[in-house]
Amino acid sequence: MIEYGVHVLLVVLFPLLMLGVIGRVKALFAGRQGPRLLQPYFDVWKLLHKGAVYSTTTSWTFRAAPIVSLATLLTAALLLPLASGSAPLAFSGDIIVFAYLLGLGRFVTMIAALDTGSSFEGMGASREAAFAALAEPALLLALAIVCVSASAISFHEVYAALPWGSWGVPHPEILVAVVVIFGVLLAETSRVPVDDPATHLELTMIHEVMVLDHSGPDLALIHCGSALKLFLFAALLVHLLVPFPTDSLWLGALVLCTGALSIAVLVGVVESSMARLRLVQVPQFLVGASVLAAIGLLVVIVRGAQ
Amino acid sequence: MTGYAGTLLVVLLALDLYMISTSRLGACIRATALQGVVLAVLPLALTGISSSTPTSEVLRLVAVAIATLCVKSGFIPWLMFRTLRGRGESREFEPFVSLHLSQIVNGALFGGAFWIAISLPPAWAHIHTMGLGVGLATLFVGLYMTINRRKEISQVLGFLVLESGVMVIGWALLRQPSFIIEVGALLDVLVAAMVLGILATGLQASPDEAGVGEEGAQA
Repeated sequence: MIEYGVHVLLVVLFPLLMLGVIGRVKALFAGRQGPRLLQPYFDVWKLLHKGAVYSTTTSWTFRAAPIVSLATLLTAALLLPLASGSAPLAFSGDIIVFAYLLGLGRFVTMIAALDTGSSFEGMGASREAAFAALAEPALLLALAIVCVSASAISFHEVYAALPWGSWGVPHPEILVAVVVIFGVLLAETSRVPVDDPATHLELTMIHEVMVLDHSGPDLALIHCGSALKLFLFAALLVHLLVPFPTDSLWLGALVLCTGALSIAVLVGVVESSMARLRLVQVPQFLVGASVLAAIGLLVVIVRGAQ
Repeated sequence: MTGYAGTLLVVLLALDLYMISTSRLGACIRATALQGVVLAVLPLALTGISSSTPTSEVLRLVAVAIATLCVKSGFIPWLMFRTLRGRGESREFEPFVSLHLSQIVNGALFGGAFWIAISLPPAWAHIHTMGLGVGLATLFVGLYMTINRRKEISQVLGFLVLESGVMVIGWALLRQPSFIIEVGALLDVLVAAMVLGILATGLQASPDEAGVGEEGAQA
């Protein structure tokens, strides 16, 4: 029971810290002092105490979207093992449900953007749909690599049966999956080089333009959702890179938190050192990730045939 | 050491994919140089050196590795960069097939290469299946680059990649040092790169010297 308590605590409390770390790393690179590490928590707290403004064009879809989107992510968070080897809602085939819960969250955000009737938000929704369609095969192929090499289709079985090379170095195909999932992380959480979360020009925005009309508590929910999405992808990666410490819950939580914070630092470094790709180059980035994942899958198949 | 062959081969494939998807010539040359490093280490991983291997064989393998390193990631990239600077080009602007589509086509090529490697008869059981697959895939990528790109430098690069593929196939099939194939492959690349390199600079130089515009003015 206590492991599920830790799981829920991690899901509720930890994700916003990753946003704080990314902000801090970017500030360091820019030579500024930067906001406090806990600034995202204060932001969300402030937003929760504000009122929300709704356009008269919008319907209930617009009001429901932030709640539904956060709910899908929270459900997805219950499927993924975090500190211990099992997740509260684990069942056979939960990997596919995980991938499509993320898709459902995105769909709800997009129809809310269309609901506002604003041309900018419609444009953002169309871009998000186009890029998500390309990011999805990459994610599913990467998950397929992991599933095939562990011959299992649920997270807890996969993490238990993941093959490890000598000296705790993961197999090359797992490393390919890690690289691809990191690329998908950058695309899905709208980070540089796919999207710039700090941009203020509607013409270049992708994800941020869709949430322009949300305010107050709704915006707080959206912030929490995007932080949670980042955390989920980071947790997925950490478990692929570090052998799972199943014996101790606290050691598992420590490994997860350290790993997730390292990934936040890495995202911050990527954001500070890379320029955003031009919009026409984003599909190339995502298709490249898919083909790389396909290569990884081929390698697994050849290894199986040998 | 054999355990790392897989990782090296995957790195090789990732570099192939990178070369297919970038239009920057400098990045392509750097990727071939990196492939040279991988190719230098690969024989050591594929042949599986252990403490029981005779010293002469180890020395031979190390010598081959050093030679590969010097030629494939030292001399040829240097020559290519020189040619590149001489021509003042940095990008491959209009390949015949767009870079997006090339990625997908090459995904299919990789699939075909691996399919061939897997479906070999069991009499070939001593070969390194993954090595053969990666070698064929690299060869296909090289061929594809040679056909798809318009600039001479890119075509030479494609040819280099093709040669790397041949070398990987050789190592995967034999899994023992056979100096003749090795040196043959290296010489091939060396000659090709030098000839094409000189040709490439020559082609650029000749229209300037011929002075088409001036002749037109005189006439």
